[in-house]
Amino acid sequence: MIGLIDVGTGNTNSVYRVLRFLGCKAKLCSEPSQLMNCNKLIFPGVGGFAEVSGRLIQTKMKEAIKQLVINEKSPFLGICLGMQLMAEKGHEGGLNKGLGLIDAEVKKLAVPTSEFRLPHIGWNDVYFQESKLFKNISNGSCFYFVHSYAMTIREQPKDKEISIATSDYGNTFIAGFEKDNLFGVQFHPEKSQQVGIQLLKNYIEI
Amino acid sequence: MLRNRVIPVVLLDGYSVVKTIRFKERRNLGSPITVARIYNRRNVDELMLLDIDASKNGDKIDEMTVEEVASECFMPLSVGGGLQNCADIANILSKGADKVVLNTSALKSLSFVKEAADMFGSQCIVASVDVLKKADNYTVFSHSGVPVNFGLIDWINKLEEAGIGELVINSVDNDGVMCGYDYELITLVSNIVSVPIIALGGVQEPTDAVNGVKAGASAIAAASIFHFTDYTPNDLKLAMNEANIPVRL
Repeated sequence: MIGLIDVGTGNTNSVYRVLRFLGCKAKLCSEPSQLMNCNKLIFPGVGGFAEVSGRLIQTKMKEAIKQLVINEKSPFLGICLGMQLMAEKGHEGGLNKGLGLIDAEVKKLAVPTSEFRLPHIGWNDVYFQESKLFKNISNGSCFYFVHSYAMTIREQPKDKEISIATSDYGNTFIAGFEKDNLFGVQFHPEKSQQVGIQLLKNYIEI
Repeated sequence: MLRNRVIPVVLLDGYSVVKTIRFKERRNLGSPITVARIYNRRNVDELMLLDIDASKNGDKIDEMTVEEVASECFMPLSVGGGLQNCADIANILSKGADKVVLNTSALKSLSFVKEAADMFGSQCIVASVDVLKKADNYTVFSHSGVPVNFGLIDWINKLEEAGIGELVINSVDNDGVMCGYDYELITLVSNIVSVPIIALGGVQEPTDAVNGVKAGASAIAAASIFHFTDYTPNDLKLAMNEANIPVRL
């Protein structure tokens, strides 16, 4: 059973629909008790970092998620804001704490000229290293992005512990990462048609 | 590298798809789910669903229509029509919308736009501005009859300050007439705001898409050309590609 973390601002139903389409059992979880029989988690992200960070604490979901992911090693996939919230902290809407699952920070996308308008919205190509999420997907495929902030990872990739996916919007930025049971994608696979559906299928099969 | 988008727009009046000419005459085009299915088969970049009468009638865009469209289309969906507060936005996002389009409610309250951007993130909030030319001046037009207290330039600056993620610029004069975009308008607006601009109103043929991007649009939106001619969104993208504009093919 996949648990879809729902803090009330997201497009959880979009991910839910793709999972159903793929024949996978999933449920929306807005409080800790609902996470109990879930063996995999997805955190679809729409919202502001500050707002959602607050809601995770208020609902006690923050601790419940950390317990499952850190202690029980449940696979966790963060999407867009969901990926950003896996970081230690984020700068959107003031400085706020994330889930702290990975040594990273979230800052506004650095663009070289005003020709690169923000938010970064639309289809962009993603390049990945060896990866479980991107199996059967051509390197350089386009996925749908809609964000102004991105993650900078401080952990040094040691012995291929961390696998990074990147995209380019004036400068290279992190489009995804994989480390043990932790997965994050900055783009929206549930909105990226065939390649997105393949990626979610890959996650279900991990 | 980011691709420029082609976004078909589906206008609704309650439950049916309609197309207007200069915001006046209307033609009824049937069921939104049928229209959405065709676009989904064509693998479009994004879809925009707007209920053009909702605000005027004190209604909201029909959530079951949104839910139905979203259940068949695994692509980005922007939705607008009578959304008045954050609860409306949260509700319509839960039905499958990814972004919301605000027009009348923004004219009624800029602080609502800011509140929505803070809660849902700027990237979720699209403002739509209808523009009418009056004696050589571009003015902001309200179809639902809300008083407009700002000139166009002032208004778009205020929307950007309030935290919108994208701006739809819709030319009332060119709406539905398929004589090309108002390029001057697109350039004017794109030089003022820094968010992505979605140009709407007047696309007649693929070269309009090319010229729209050259005039400053980040995305090309259109309705009549797809309803009434044989051109598909892909035809526009092929022309853009020929002109070395990055697109997803």
